Amino acid sequence: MRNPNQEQLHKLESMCVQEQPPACMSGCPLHVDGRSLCAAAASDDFDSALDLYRKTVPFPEILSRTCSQICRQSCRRAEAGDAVMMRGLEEAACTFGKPKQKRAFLPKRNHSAAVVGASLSGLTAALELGKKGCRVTVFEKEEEIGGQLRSMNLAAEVLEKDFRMLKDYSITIRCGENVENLDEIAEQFDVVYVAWGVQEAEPIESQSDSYQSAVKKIFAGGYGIRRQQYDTVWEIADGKRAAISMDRFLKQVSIMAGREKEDIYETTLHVNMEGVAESCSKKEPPYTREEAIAEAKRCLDCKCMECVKACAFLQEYKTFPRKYVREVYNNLSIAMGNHHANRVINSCALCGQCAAICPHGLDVGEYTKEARQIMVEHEKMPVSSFEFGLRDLEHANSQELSVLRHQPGMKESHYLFFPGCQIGASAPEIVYRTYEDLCNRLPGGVGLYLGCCGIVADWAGEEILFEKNIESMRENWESMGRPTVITACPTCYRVWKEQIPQAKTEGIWNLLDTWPEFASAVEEHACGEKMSVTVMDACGARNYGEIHEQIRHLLKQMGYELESHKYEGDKSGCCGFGGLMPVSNRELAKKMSASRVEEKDRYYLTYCMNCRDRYTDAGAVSVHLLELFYGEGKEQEHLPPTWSDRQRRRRWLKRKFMKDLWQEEMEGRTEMKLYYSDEIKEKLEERMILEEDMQDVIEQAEASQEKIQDTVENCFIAVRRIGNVCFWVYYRPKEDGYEIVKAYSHRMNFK
Amino acid sequence: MAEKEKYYERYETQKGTYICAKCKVPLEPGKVILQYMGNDFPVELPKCPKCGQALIPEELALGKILQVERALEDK
Repeated sequence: MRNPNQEQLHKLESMCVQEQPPACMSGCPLHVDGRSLCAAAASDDFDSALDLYRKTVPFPEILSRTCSQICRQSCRRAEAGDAVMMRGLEEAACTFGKPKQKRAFLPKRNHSAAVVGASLSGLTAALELGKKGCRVTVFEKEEEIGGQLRSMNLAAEVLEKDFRMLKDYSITIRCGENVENLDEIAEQFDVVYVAWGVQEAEPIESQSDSYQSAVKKIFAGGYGIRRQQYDTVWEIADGKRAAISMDRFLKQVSIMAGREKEDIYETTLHVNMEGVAESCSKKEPPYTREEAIAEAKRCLDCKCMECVKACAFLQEYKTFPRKYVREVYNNLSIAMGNHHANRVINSCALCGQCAAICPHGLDVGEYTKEARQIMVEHEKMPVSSFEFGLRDLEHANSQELSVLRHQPGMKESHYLFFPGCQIGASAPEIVYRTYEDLCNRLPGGVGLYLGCCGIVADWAGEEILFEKNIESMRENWESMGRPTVITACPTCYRVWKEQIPQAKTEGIWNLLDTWPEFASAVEEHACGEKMSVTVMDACGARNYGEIHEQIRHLLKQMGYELESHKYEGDKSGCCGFGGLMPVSNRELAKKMSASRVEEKDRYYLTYCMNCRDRYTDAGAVSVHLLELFYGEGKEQEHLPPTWSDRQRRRRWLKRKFMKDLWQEEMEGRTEMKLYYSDEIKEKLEERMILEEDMQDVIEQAEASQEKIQDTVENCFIAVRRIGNVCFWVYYRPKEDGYEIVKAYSHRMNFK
Repeated sequence: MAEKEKYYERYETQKGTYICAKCKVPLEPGKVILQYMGNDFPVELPKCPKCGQALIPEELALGKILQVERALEDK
């Protein structure tokens, strides 16, 4: 039995870069979160901006006036204008923000530390060690602290404001004391940081990552030791990093563990720059409050979210793949308790659009499908999620609806027409005419195979059922003499190609493309005049570039002009049928359909019948390719079929084929005449109650008289359990049938 | 006196609203056991005193019952 795999989870998590830091942050020696700082400043919240800044920068007043802004070299804004002037925003945060007064709890420690040189780097280390509870002594040979900083012409109050913080901790500053012998100092203190700037004495060397010198308790960094150029941000970075090493040295733990990303590095966060308008900084800092807000608004708020922008499912659950895969994994790992994410897992369309869009190819659908399979295997799949869809599969493949025959009058089939169960359920007359035409055009016999490719079982995570269905398709295909399969559904095409690769499979669109005289004749009767259409690529055709090309070639041959869709070809989304979404989450499926319709006055061309129906339902004009060839010119008038319509139409199709082509009358029950309003129709659809189910209930009640009379509504009430569901129907007998007052169902049994 | 049965839900209707078409008698409040995934929930619903035919009203089916079904399925 399969179990959730943690290694796989980690691999998937690492593929999603949404939580990677923005470029400004990874490119800053102190890793200041420029993105969040900009967001705070842009919303005039300078208190938060300052709070953020102070979290990473020990001397905010000084740095915000002197920073060399290394971050600007990696700021993505520079690709459309110039980089955000971070220093100006940081200075504005210091000027307009009110610092939060918080007194941190000081750990009690007995460690003493010496800092040699009250440079900015030395003072940073002193402050950081002070915050950790060490007793720090700073030795400075000059009469005042700051070192090189004193030559930068900073206002006295700026220095004063920052240096005042030193007084909050156990830090003793001894000016006018020149340290000549480090060994002596090292003997008196537990740890030493040397930051004395340019010295004539013997240069001291320290390790590039840990700042540790050859003498284990002596660390060194800052200008003159590590840097040739004086740069305040590096002074502070050296001091901070050395202080971490010294603290760890004192605690006798690994000095470098987990510090891999301490230096500046390139982030892997993907940012789509498409459509970003140019903009440049208006002026050099200092900024007024308004100027700072305007500058902060230039920040791109770097995020990936590429797949989320395209996917109604990820948007609905306010998630992104990294977060989602973790949630799925956790849900699968629960041994006892509620599986809160079941509904989320069962709502994905499994369409794979995310993988096509993701810069690293992360496929949420694939992972979700596997999760469903594990749920089924562990008997944790809620029965109600997909049962209706699975019943539909069973029905489509039942004796009542399926067909497997050679062309009338033929003993063999060179071809086998497998239109796909959805096209027959929606537009049976198109299937009928297409088959007739194929029989006329193709030599060697065209067999007919009506049935379902089983994809719904695959979507529901029912691997065994899916495999069984494939096995039966393979047997049927072999029994017909291994003919070339012609399908009219891109999903069926995929299933035949991938599951039964021995079979030669062709899409009907490709055949039509080989009859140019047919294609060019169509233009006149289908649309009258040349029109431009937007091809809505089916998710079933993803990674089958040949389908995308064949469809477009055919349409051009027919004289259509093609308009593009934001997400087309492999990047196309799902119409809202994939993954059995209309069964497991009807509302979300509707949102998904609507999200794919960009403009309602466009003419959408589909080559999947579900796409046609779902986009029509979303209010768009959408037409199936085959309607252009085999329709009656009324293609814009069709209504999306209800679940009951689907069954009725499949039944009609089989009966018509059997009667017209093979002169066989189909036996079967007579359909009961049921009358109901549009309001009830919508409810039946939402509750997934079929006319067939209601007929079963009424027939039984009328035969047995086991029914309840409702004297207020003046109707009968009857119930019948069909499969795992109890159906309740309120009805009134009419002359030639029954009027439905209401119907509902539940899964609980009762006695 | 026997202890009164504890019901999860209780649905009272005007006597005479519902009549069992087979037995020709009005439904009366009676004990019905709802069962799902190995759990039993006794409720009081309109029921035929003769043949036991019960009525599960729409608001119960689409309200509490649906809620409990989902909760049990997610266990």
